[in-house]
Amino acid sequence: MSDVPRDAASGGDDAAVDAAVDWVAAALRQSEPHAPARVVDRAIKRVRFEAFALGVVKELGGAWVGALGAIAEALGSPDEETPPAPAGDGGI
Amino acid sequence: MAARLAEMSDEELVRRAQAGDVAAFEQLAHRYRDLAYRVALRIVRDPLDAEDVAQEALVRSWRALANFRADAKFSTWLYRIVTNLALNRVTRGKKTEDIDDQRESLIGSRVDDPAERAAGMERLEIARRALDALTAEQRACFLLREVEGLSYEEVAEVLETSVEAVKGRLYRARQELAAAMSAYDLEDVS
Repeated sequence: MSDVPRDAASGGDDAAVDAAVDWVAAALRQSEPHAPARVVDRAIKRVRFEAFALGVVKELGGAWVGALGAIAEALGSPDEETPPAPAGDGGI
Repeated sequence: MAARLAEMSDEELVRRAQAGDVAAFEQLAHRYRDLAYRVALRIVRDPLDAEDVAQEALVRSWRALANFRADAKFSTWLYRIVTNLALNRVTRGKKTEDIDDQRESLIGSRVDDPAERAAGMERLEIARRALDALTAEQRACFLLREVEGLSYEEVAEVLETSVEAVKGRLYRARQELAAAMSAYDLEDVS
């Protein structure tokens, strides 16, 4: 938050404008407001919860895929169990 | 571990946080909480609103970390999230200023000398009134450039606009501020 150098792009302001702007900027810089601790505490609580929930969803997702795979294996693949269509000769 | 995280660069912490390391993100949040709150407070003007904005900005930065480009600066990215949220809040028209609370939160408790503290409050109150002359967009532009010290390019990136637009807004902001300050003799209030 150091002093910002002036350049021509600021619009060729005159000295009075520069002085007023510098004064306001300096008054604001000297105040340095600090965030109350609760701001970051609450944010981190929410982030931790979201990270935890995401982990649970991923875990559950993996578990579901595993369980479904096991069930499918136990039942056998419908494709494998379906008897092949009789080659036949076109019927009676 | 916390000590090691404290020594890490923003880039390293971002990399770790992107990989799901919540502790690395917590370090970033602690590092930038004052920046988030300060910018929010100066745009929305209300301490409680500023707390909401800063908190929300930190959470959103976590959620969006996957989209964060490695070549960008985390601070510039956070400036953008905070500024957008703060401008949205101002646009929604919620305005519940409590000047006394604001003074307290702006000055803080680090000035012990009562006379110096009173002078600081007076200067701040004048600066606050001068900022009232600006639109929210001009205020954001002025704060980012003249108070936070960002380059024109960075301000343009934060506000998602062109450098020319930033210079135009800043020019008007400077003229408005000078007009607002013309009522004061700066020698008397320094």
